[in-house]
Amino acid sequence: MVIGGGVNGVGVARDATMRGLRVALFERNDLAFGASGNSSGMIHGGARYLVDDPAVTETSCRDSGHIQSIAPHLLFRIPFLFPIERSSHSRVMLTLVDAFFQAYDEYQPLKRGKPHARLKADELHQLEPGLRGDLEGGVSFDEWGIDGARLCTANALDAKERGAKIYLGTTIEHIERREDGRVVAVCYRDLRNGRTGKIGTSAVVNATGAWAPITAALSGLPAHTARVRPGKGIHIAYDRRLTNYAIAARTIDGRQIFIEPWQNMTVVGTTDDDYYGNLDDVVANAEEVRYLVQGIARVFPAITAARPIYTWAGVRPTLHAYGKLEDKLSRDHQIIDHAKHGTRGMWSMIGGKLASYRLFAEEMTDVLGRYFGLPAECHTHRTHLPGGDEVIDPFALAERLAVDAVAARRLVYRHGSRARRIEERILEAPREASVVCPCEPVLEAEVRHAVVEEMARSVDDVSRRTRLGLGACGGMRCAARCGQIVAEERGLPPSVGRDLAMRFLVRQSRTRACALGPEQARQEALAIATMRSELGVDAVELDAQAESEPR
Amino acid sequence: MKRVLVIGAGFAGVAAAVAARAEGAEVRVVGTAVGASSSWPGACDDEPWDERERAAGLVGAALVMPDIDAEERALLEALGLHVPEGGSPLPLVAATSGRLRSTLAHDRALLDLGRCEGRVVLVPRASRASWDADTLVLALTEEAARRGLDVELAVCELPVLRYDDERRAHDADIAARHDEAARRDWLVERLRPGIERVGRDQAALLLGPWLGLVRERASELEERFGLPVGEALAATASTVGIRFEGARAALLAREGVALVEGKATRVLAGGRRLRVELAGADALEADAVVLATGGLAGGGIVYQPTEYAAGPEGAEASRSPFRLSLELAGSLVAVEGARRSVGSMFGPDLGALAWPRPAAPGALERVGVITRGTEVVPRVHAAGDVVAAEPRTVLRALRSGLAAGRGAARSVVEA
Repeated sequence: MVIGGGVNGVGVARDATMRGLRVALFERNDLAFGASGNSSGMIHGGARYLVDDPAVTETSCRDSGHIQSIAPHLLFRIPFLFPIERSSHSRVMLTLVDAFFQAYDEYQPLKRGKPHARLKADELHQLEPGLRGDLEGGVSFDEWGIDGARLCTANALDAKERGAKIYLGTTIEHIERREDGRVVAVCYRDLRNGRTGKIGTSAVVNATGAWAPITAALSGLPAHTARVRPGKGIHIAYDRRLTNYAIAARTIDGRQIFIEPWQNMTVVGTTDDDYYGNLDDVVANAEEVRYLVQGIARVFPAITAARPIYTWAGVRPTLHAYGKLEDKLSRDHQIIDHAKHGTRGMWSMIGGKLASYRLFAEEMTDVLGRYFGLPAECHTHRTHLPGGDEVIDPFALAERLAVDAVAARRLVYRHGSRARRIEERILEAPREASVVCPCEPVLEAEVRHAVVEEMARSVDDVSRRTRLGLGACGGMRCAARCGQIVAEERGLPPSVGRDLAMRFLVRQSRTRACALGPEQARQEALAIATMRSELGVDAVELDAQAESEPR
Repeated sequence: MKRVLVIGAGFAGVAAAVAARAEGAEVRVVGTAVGASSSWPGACDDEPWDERERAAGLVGAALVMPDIDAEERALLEALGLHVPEGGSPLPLVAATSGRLRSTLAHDRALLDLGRCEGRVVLVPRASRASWDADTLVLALTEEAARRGLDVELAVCELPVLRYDDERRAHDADIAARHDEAARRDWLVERLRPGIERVGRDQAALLLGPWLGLVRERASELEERFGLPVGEALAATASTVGIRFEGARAALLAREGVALVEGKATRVLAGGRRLRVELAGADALEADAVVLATGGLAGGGIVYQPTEYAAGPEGAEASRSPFRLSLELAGSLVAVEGARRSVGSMFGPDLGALAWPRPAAPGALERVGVITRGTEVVPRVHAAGDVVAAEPRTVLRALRSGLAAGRGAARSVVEA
């Protein structure tokens, strides 16, 4: 029994299923709802941790290399620039940074990264004309970008296709133990319809990230037995790619932040603050946005005139330590065997990174293997994730389907060779080639595929899997139609589809509000007017529903 | 002769011009390109329609047309709207998002489904991102049933797009093609067999916002087919707004009001006359001014946070980040709910203010200039969305426009 649909949970579900265990996975919200879907979108080698935690850097790089070989379609290169401002000690600093990345270069081959280069100030300006400030020089280095939500979906799909049962929108209410402390069953509740049930099990993996202490407490253990240090991180998305390179910058308090070209937009991140709020509803606030923008504006001033299109926020389940600054916390991972707390057959996965999820899942499944006396070995680093087995030519696909080349390219990025399944849908029903979300773009067939094959149940879910509605218009042109399609595929009345669309639009609007600039405020007012005239929101009702049906 | 200058050429500005003219003033309207009225979806309300329906639902009242003032009615009709008789049931228009909503008055091209009772409303398929006939029919069928409206909706394979580029073209481009008689002939000829299969007495036709730009072509098609034909309401970038611009030009010409293209940058109230400076053009003089520049959505109110264009260390002083789009001494812009609190040195927390909250509209909808009656400062009156704390509806804009136009014209006499 795996609890948690983040990257660790689906990673274990996949590995354990491949090794012959019978697996059920429960997720309270949606796949990649927490930290996995709200990360910086990189499986970086963790150069940041090289000084304090070189082992984390090595495992990150090594596993990043594995992810590349099992899901090559999901990766894209993000070259970084690390400029150094001129100061009394900047020359020494540059030499140190150069030496530091020299050390990092050792790990680069593990993830097929390119070695760093030391750059003069004018070379930096040449590479990135938007770069400002009095610079001493800098270095370049190489990282990989990934869509965390797609990575989770691919793992979950693979597990499901190999026989795992996946329950989304279903929360665990109680973990039952026998008198001797052995886990025997979990009681669950479907948050959509309130239905409850109980499933017998002999092993429970708590992979609930920041929720881990809450989950551990469900078995009657004290919450501190699965303690994390929850660190909130926010990101701001800007329309289009504003830079050629990702640029590292420093905040007013000296923290390392960045601006990166990511998929078809630009991302600024990230904060790291202890978080004590509601984990099911984490949103960025204006204060955090201003803090980041101020830091980026020092090296890339054009950011203040750029157009933010939304923000996202997640909570890292960092290893617990008292008294350390957030940035200094270890990014390592750890498996807690609750046998020492009196519960046998239950483990909590704490910490970890997107880049090393596979390794973490392997370690966890090794523990399960020993527990059940299974001889099977891990194959997750040698077996392709769904869609990773074959390269599809997007141009040929575009021609076959008579769709935009961009639409085909994006489709292939998200689904790899599984794009063929969407192609089959369209060949069967040519009308499904129509575009639902023109910003991303997303075809109708992909929306239906996400509902039928990828377990999406709401507009939010479809958006997480396809990036529908995350473009410049914020879903104004597609959410309503997507809602109707989701409702239709799920056999629900259209009014439910409209509610799903409204919930998505309101949530997106909330994530935008804290980052609004002059032009965006005007557009936001137009968006509100539009929604009022066409959909007519009853904000009161919507809030009440959100409480009874968290997503 | 007293001169009134109206700044802004949306619903409020036009109404103000007409009212000031009726008071015997010489009127000029200064307008820029696009405001909220130029992109209005075509349904005209006094209160937001969802609030009206909720209130009616609470007391179990039927949705009937209230009596409206003859002056307002005449103005609405002159601007190309259909206004039902007082006491008759409210029209029900279909939004492209699948919602069926009531409205007080509407652009004549929109199909009133209330008129289609007992009929089969045909919704043709068209391969366009903004038009999904299948989901539209599903959603509208449910909505009609919920309202107890006796109409049947049916998807049909009737050709409405003629050329391949129309799969991607803007709604307005397709609408413009329907201004050509030949294209309408083509449409009538192609659709007639399909319609006759259903029966002329039993059918109605719902199309996208494609029926004419110069003026609405729905009524002409209605006559030729002999059944109700009309558009669905599209809230974003609708063609209805372009038709409004045409109707506005005709109305202002008829009233003898000059429309000056330009953007007002400053209103100076120093001398005997008010002086309105324009960007890149000569200043204009007037005895009174009506400010009808629109709200935040229309561009009359500007959001300018202090950190915007600030130095590398951030903002230096706090002030309200909302202001009028032109300079007008003595005017005060208010954000409802945050009138006094400038939350930080960066201004109010938009994250907490932007979206409408339960029981209170969001700040972005209600921010505007403070008035006494319609007056902002002596001889300057405001109307429409630029006024703080008013619902952003067409009928409200029109009403306040009429009042402000009258007020401005009379203020000259009083002075």
